[in-house]
Amino acid sequence: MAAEGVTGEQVVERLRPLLELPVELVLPVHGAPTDRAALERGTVLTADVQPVAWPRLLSLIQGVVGREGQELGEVLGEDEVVEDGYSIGPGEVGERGLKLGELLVADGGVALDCHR
Amino acid sequence: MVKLASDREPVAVLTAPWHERDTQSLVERLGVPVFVPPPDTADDLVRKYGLTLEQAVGGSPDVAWLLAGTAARPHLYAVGDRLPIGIEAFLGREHNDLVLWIESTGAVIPGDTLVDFGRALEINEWLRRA
Repeated sequence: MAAEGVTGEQVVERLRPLLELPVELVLPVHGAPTDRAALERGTVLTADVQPVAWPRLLSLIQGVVGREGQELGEVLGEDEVVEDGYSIGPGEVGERGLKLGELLVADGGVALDCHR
Repeated sequence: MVKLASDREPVAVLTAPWHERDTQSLVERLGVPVFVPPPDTADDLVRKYGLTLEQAVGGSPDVAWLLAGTAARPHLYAVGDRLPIGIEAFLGREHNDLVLWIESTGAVIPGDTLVDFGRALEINEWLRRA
């Protein structure tokens, strides 16, 4: 059994000391050079949203008759997300190892794009 | 990079051991010292990814060439270390995926912790989930 990783909140907490520093430049390993403002935006999770637990997501998906490409925000309301920073697209593997695409096909072909 | 290195004293600093990319060729061409967080041990692989000890034997092969070699100059570093070249290491996603702060230039190098895959700089969704 693999150990649990870290949450987005824990990562934000770890990065908080950087915001106390006079950062002028951010040099991502993946992405173009950017600035302090991007760092500030990137280290803020949407604090006013409540993560949706996986069982609730499943119940929502199974109860939803959406249209292809419908965003989860439309289904759940803009104030809910599926885990902070967690993105699931059709066919991708969800955190419990389920293929969401397959699950959705079984539920009538609804395609959800879950994002912050 | 090679051209720029000709009149400097270059070093290679990896934010994670799996980011070695062309480090070996740079070491061979320029003889640069390499600063790198420690690769996952067998115990790390068991704990993080649920491998068996048999599967994880020997630990991660990341930078094995560097640590085993005689010509290379490896320097393992960890969270909280201040490298002699003016770089400070902060904890990122993992104990060996670090975020670097270069005070002299006011630069942050966020490793695999903050990434921009076309949307914006954001926390990496490859996180091992809690």
